[in-house]
Amino acid sequence: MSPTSALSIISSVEFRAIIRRRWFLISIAVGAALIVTGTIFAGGRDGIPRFDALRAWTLAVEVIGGLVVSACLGASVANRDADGGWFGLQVATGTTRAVVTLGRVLGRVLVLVAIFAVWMALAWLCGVLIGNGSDWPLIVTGFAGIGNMLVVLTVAALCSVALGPVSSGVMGVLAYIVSLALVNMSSAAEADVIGTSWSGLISSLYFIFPRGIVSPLVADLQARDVAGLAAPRVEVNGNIVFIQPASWATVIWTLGWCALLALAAAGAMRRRALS
Amino acid sequence: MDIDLAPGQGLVVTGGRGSGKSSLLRAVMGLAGPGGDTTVFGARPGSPDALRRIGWAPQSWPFTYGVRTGEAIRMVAALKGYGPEEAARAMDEAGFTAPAKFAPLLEIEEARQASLACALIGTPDLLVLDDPWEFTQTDTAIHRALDRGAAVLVASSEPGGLLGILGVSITLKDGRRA
Repeated sequence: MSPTSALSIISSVEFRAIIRRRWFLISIAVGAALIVTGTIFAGGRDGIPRFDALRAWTLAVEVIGGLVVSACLGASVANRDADGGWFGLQVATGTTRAVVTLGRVLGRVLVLVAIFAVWMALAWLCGVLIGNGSDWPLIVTGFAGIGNMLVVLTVAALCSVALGPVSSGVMGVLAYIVSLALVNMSSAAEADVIGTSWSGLISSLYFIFPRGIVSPLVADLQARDVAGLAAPRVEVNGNIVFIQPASWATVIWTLGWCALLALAAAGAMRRRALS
Repeated sequence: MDIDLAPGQGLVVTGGRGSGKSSLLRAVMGLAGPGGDTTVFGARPGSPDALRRIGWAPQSWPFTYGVRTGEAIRMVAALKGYGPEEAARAMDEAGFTAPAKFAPLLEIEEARQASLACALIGTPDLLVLDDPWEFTQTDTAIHRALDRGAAVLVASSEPGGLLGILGVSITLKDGRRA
């Protein structure tokens, strides 16, 4: 059995197992219901406010719903199944722990992509129905959201090797907050609205750690302060900070970090006791 | 603790709750615990090459939520390089008749049979059974394994007739041989 085949088998079993769970269906349904509600709300407006309203609702679903889903997915990579015998059953077939771990992470990444795909497709369809046409910037924002949520998922996955599900999920969400804060503070440093003594530290951290991926649409909504709670306007020391959209280098850097975190989780599982 | 299990030999590890029976088996499988000088088929416990020659039946409910039990057993077969027909044969040999059930819905008897089915996939050179229930199929499977020269290692607090089949037993207390 080649590692690739084992990876494929484990990820597909994990994917099927998760999409049958009640919380998966509830997450999709709640997100879809909120997008439809946002569509009804947006449909009562004209022009730019109609675009903004649907985009803000969709963004809220993708950020808040995405955080919940990705934290839950990542936090369940190891702990309970490692203690309950399922992980051990997979390892006992002669499949290396690294491959089992990566298969489990990959299965969860596919679930995350599936959830976002449903939300993005529904938001696109709703936009067409109320006359917004094909809202491609909103689709791009969905892909950026997947990138951000991969950080949450992989950090939670790494933590799940040693911590319980709740702690692992919280760590994943904290990583997301830090990655966005670094982007915001870096923009503030570039705009010279924070002290120079902090600028060096923020720049260093920005270049080292994963960075939040801000789509051009979110940057525009934030600048006009119409993105809602999911992406409020950034103000530092009373100054409005305009966040720049993420470059391709930032996207690649953050996705590279996600791959590194998944590999770290696989490595950390080498010494973890299994049932 | 010094244990030497040769091909065609059986061993029952007995002892009370918390005596270390399951920990000993998990150490042999390389899943947990100190390996010490243990070797399994000449390799360190947990080495993929050794594990491929072992049939492992974990205790209680080793399956996760959302997976149908038959699907889980077919996954074990696939990871060992066998097709679904071998999984079906192992389920039949173990007497397991509820492959469509989700793991949490299994009766305890069904869970033990499903676990046994995982161990019977292929022709393992070593059967490691953690707390197997003594069904007719369990006895038959152990007899077959011993007859073809495989070794059988069983942990059970109430081994019953398994003692007679396997012949040799050791008793553990507080993680040591009593």
